[in-house]
Amino acid sequence: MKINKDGHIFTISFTFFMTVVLVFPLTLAYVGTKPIADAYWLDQHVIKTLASMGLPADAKNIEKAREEYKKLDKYTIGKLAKDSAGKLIVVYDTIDYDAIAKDPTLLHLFPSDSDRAALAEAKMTMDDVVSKALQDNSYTGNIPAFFYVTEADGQKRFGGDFTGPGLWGNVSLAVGSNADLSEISGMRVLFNVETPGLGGRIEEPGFTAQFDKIKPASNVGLVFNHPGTPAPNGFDAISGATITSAAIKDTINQRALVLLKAFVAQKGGS
Amino acid sequence: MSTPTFKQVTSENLNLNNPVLVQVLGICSTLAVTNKLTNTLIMTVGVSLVTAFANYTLSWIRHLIARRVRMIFQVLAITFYVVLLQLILNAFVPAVARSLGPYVGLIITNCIVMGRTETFAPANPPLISWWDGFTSGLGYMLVLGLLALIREPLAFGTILDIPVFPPEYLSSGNNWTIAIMAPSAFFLLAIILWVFKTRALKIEAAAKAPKPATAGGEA
Amino acid sequence: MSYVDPITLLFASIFTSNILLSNFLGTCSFIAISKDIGSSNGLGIAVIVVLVLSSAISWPILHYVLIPFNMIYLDLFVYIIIVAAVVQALEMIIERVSPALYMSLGIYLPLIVANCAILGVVLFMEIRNYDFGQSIIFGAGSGIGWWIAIVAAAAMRKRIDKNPVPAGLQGPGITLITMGFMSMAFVGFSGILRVQ
Repeated sequence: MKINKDGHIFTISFTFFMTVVLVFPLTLAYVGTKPIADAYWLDQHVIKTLASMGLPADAKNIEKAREEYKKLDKYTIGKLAKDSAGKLIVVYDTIDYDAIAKDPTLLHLFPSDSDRAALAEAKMTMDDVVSKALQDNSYTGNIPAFFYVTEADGQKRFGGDFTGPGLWGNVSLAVGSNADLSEISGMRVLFNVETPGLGGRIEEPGFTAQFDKIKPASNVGLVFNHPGTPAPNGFDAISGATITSAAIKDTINQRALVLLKAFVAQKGGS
Repeated sequence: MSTPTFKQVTSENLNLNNPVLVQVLGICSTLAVTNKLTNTLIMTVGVSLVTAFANYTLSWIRHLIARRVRMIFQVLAITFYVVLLQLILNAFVPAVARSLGPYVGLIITNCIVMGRTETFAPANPPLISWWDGFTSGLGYMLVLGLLALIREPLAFGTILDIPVFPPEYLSSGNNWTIAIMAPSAFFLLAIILWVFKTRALKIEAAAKAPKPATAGGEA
Repeated sequence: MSYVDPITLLFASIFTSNILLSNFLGTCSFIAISKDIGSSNGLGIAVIVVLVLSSAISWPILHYVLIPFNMIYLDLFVYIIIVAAVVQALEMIIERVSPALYMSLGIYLPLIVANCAILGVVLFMEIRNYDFGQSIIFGAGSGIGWWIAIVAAAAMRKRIDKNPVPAGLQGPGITLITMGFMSMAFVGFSGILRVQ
């Protein structure tokens, strides 16, 4: 099959031309549908954060949930900077979990008072910071660590977003706890790309409900249940999804609990 | 070549002799999601719509485009509709879209879509091409829906996320884990294929001879 | 970036998360070609080459063009064009370098464009956010896994076809059952490196 030069050039240019033509309506569709998709995932974040902290969160009453969420005090680990367009953005620090586990005072929370002033001047709130971080990382799931604290029924409740390695990609969890870390109020999965039907089952209520009011042991944290002997700090792994279940366990023990301990040390107690 | 009527197209694509069943075409992109009926239905409706509109577009321009670039235009048109489908799914059913993952994008390489746009669209007017594409997709949906209808209760104890087995079925690993994993799809599809193909062979044999011939000789 | 280490990733992509036997991709050409060991071997090797090349070319375009410019929704266009271009180029190169190879393999190359496995591997690489090295390993591993599967299936089919198979199962039916058993066997590998 001998193809002459003209044929090649024509083919290639036709391909590029058609691609460009087809891209325009798609770009319109993308720009039109992205806000809808983003709004959904933000609402999911709101509901899951509140649920993990043991606060009422009803998908049917999303307005109320959004109000409750606004009332949470929000923190993260990072610094203010300006992007190439001169807009104020937050640059997140890489976290050394082992160092913070040994010395909780190493946790430097953002925003400090001067940061708050700068944010207020730019007419940004921490809510804007969180939603921007979620949108920027909706694809990789590399959600930065965020912390939440609020008071309900006279008691302080703490929560946060924590990201760790799963089997195929990142796993982001919303984990909440009480004031002395003796009890995890709940855990919800914010992001995962695990095997659908196997590791992906960590999102199911049947799995996450195990973490409601689970009591982590002081040095060990959470463990897998041995068959037949459930422990107060134990949960059942998913059969057929050993690595993903272990990833959840490790993310909670080595990241969530470590950071929450440091956070509570600074923000706990009235 | 005469243009088939709507009725002819429908009966050809929706009967149980359709190519999906007989030749197992185009199943790869959807087998992976057949462990949940909701995902399967959304995927197959997506395939039907993409095939329909791609067929329509290619039929519409069939007199305007030279043969050499038709293949490229075919691929680009199919890609266009799949990207559009993906954007719509991401916006309106985001949870399902995320669990479908990359399999929506794989509709591009689906043999059914490529087959119909290659054979039917260039030879027939737009409207009937749309209908042919859509019914091919529906025929595909019948097979895969059946597969999911068997797999989901065994794997998760639910149909369309409504529990149909008692909760004890799912707790402490009483469910049939292999039904969630890959091998079950292969075996179940083979069984479905066996049933329908045997039936088709019997009909064929009865139509050919006054008395039924032995099935082993034909194939 | 994903934290999976290279050995685990290679092992997983070949065995425990085999692109064909666990992810169902590439079934159509598999069922059609696995009748004959020679062509299965050839097609398998062609798939490995196309996969590695496609992953290698797609990754930089994804990370240096699509993501910075917020054009991820156009990924499918880019990938399908890359795959088609790679296959076309490969066909021309093989035709020049070794006409004998082209005679035996040539007709299968265009089939590869429609092979869901190629596009599927690139899409998995995108969703799992691999870095460049991991993409190459994943592409090569998936190709090797597909190749092992098709050659093993061809060898098995040779023996199966000599035995009486019920009429309803002949052809695709018995191939699917074979694939089911192979799939179960490959799941058994997950005990070796603790990969699910």
